[in-house]
Amino acid sequence: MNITRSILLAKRYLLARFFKIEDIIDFIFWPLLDIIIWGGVGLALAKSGQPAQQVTVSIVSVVMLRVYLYSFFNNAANFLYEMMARNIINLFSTPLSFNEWLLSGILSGFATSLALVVFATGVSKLFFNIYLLSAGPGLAVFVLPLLISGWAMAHLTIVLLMLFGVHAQRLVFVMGWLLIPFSGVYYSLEIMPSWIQIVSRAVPMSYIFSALRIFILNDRFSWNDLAYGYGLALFYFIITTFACNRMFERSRQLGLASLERS
Amino acid sequence: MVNFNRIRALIKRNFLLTFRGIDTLTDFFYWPLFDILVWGFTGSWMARGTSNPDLAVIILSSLVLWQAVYRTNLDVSYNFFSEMWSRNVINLFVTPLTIQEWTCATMIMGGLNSFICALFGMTAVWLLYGIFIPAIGPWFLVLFVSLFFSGWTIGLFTASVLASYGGQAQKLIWVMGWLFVPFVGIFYPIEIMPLWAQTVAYCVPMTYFFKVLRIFIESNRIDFWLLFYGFILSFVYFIIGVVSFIYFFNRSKQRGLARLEDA
Repeated sequence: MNITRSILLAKRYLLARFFKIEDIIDFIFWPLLDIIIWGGVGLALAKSGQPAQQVTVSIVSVVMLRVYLYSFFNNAANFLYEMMARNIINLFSTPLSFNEWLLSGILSGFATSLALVVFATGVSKLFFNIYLLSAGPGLAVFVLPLLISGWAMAHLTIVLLMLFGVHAQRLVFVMGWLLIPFSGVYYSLEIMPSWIQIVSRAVPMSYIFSALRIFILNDRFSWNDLAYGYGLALFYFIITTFACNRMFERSRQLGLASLERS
Repeated sequence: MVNFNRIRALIKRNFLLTFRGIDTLTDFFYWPLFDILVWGFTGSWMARGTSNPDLAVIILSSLVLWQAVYRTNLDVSYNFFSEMWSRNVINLFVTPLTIQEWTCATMIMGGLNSFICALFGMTAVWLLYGIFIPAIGPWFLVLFVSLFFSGWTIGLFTASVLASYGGQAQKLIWVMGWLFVPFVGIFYPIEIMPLWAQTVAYCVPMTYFFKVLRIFIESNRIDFWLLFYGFILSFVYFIIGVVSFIYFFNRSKQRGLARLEDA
C-alpha cells in the first residue's frame, strides 16, 4: 500500500471539487442553512423554558451531522464521478490498488470535514455568538466515530453502485441521510416510538449524538455510549470495507468496463 | 393567443416523464417522508418542554404547506433546466409553442405534483403521529393554493437566471427554494429572529401565510390582514417573475437558443 498515491489522489479530488462553483455552493449553503434553521429551533426551545445550552446542542449536532455526511459523500461521490467520467479502467490500469483508492476518499473526506468545522465555527459565532470550539478538545472524541460511520456508509453505497451501475446514482444523495431519523441528531431518542428506538440501537450515530448531548448539557463523557458508538462504527467499517473489496474484485473479473456503462 | 391543447399536451408529456424511474420516488416520497420523520419527532420533543401542545401540529402542517412552494418551484425551474440538459429547447420552440404556453403548462404541472406530495405527506403524518391535517379545515386549502404563487415566482426567477447564464447556474434550482426557509417561520415563530431577519421575513409573502396558519391552529381565528398582505405581495412578485422570465427568455432567443444547450 502506497500512501503517497492516496494523498495525491485525495489532492486531485479536492482540487476538482473546490474549483467548481456548484461544489462551493454545496459546501457553504447547506451547512449555513442547517446552522441558521437549527440555531433558530434551539433559540425557540431555550425561550420556552428548556436549558439555554439547547442552542449550542442544536448547532453542534448539525455541524457534527455534516462531518458524517461529508465523510460519506466524499467517498461515495468520488466513485460515482469516476463511473460517470468512464475513468475506472484508466484509474485501475495504473499501479493504484483499490484500497489506496478507498484511502484517498477517506483522506479527502477528512480534509473537507476539517474545513467545514472551521467554516461552521465562524458562522455560529457570527449569527448566534456561540463559539463552537469552546466545548474544548473533548469534541474531537465525537468526530472520529462519525467519520468512521460516514466511511462505512460510503463503502456500502459503493458496493450498491458496483452492483446496480450508474442507474443507481441517486443512492449517493440518499444513502447518507437514510439513518439520520434514527440517529437522534435533532431530538432525544426517547421521544421516538419503541420500534424506532430498537432500530436506532443498531445505528452507531445514535450513541454518539446521545453522548454529545450529555457532554454539552452536563459537561461529562458518557463512556458507555461512546464505547457502543465506536464499537459499532468500527464493526460496520470493517464489514463494508471487506464487502467493497470483494465486490470490486468481482467487478474486475467480470471486466471493469461493466461499471462504466450508462 | 394561448392554445390550451398545447398546454394539455405538455402537461401529459411532463407527467409521463416525471413518473418513471427511481428519481421520482426519492423526490416525491423519500425526502417528504424524511422531513416528516425528523420534524415530527422534533415537534413532539419541543412540545414536551413547552406550554404549547399544538407545536407538533403547527410544524407538521407547515411542512405539508411547504410542499406547495417547493414542488411548484422545482417543477418550473427543473423542467426548464431538463429541456436545456437534454438539448431540447430549440426543438421545443421551433414548434408553434409559445413561452407563455410552456410557462402555464409547467405551473399547472407543479400545482398537481404539489397535491400529490401533500396527500402523501398528510397520510404519513396521520399514520405516524395520529395528526389529521385536513381537520384544520378549508382554510388550509386556501393557504396551500396561495403558496403556489410563491413557488411559481421562485421557479420563474431561477428559470430567468438559467435563461441568461445557461446550465452553469443549475445549482440554483435546489438552492433557491430553501434560501427562504430560515426567514419565513415554518419551524419557529419569526419573533425569535433578530430584527434584521424579521425585516427580511416581512418582505417575503410566505411569512404571512405561515403566520396565518400558526395563529389559526393556536387560536382558531383567521387574520385577514395578514392574508391580504400575503396575497398582495405574492401577486406583485409573481407578475415581476413572469415578466422577467419572458424577457430573459426572449433575449436568449434573439441571441440564439443554441447557447442554452451548450453544456
